[in-house]
Amino acid sequence: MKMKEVIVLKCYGEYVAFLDGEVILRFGTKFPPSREKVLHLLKKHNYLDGINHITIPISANDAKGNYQLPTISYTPRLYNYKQKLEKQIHFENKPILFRQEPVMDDMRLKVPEEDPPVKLIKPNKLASLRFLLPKAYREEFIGDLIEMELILKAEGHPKWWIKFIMALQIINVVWHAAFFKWKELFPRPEKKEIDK
Amino acid sequence: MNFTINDLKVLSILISGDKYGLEIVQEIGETGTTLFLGSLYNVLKKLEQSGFVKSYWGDGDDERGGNRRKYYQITAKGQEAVDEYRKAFTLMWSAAYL
Repeated sequence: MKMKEVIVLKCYGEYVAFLDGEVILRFGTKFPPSREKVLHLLKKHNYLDGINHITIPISANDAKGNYQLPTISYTPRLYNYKQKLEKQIHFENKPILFRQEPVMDDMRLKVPEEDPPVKLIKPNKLASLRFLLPKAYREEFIGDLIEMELILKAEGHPKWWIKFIMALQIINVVWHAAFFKWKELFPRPEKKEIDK
Repeated sequence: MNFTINDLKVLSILISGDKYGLEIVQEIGETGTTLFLGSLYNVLKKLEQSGFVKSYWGDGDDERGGNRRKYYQITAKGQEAVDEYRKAFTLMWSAAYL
């Protein structure tokens, strides 16, 4: 049986997952992804079938077991990927991390047959928000909020922190909507002159 | 139209492709600055009303409680505005370091 392996690395300042040398997932530059998050996203994007291993460099673990700075390896494919990133305007000013050492001391983790259970906010719990939130972006906001909770849980944040962040976002949306309306910051439609 | 710094942040993120709200917030977070969803929706609404971005709905997703993603796309007018601002900033900085 052919071995299919996903490798998670920090590449040019961004955490990415590789499969057969291709970048299949991007996790941003700020936080390294947890194993649960990698599994969740692999399943979401239909990459999980046939994968035997997920490899994350062992140097990525600190004393508390949190992933820190995985090693970066150099291949022509990564070089092409770097060039693609540099073409995007918001990557221009970022420091490009680039080393030529091969990845050493891998820690191989077996992929469990079933994904870890992820409990999400039930949409009904957010039903009361419909009276508070502006109609223009109610559906969009509730969807983003649920997705944000999933990301925070996957990153392993404590429950009180997740609740605090969610509350902050809700208050922020309500306050901003009221403020923009009060100060009339939205552009008004141009009035048409009527010839009498 | 005079842009705020948040307007320019959002427009510059949208240059690289169509994105939805949370994705924009995450990408802005990666640049070392913060933008809350509340500010973002208002900025997007303002930009959409002025014709700098346009939006369309994606498919519903179970992970979002069945809610759809609303994707935002920069228009040609928005692209021109960003280019003008970029030129102006470049001139300003080059003059400052002369």
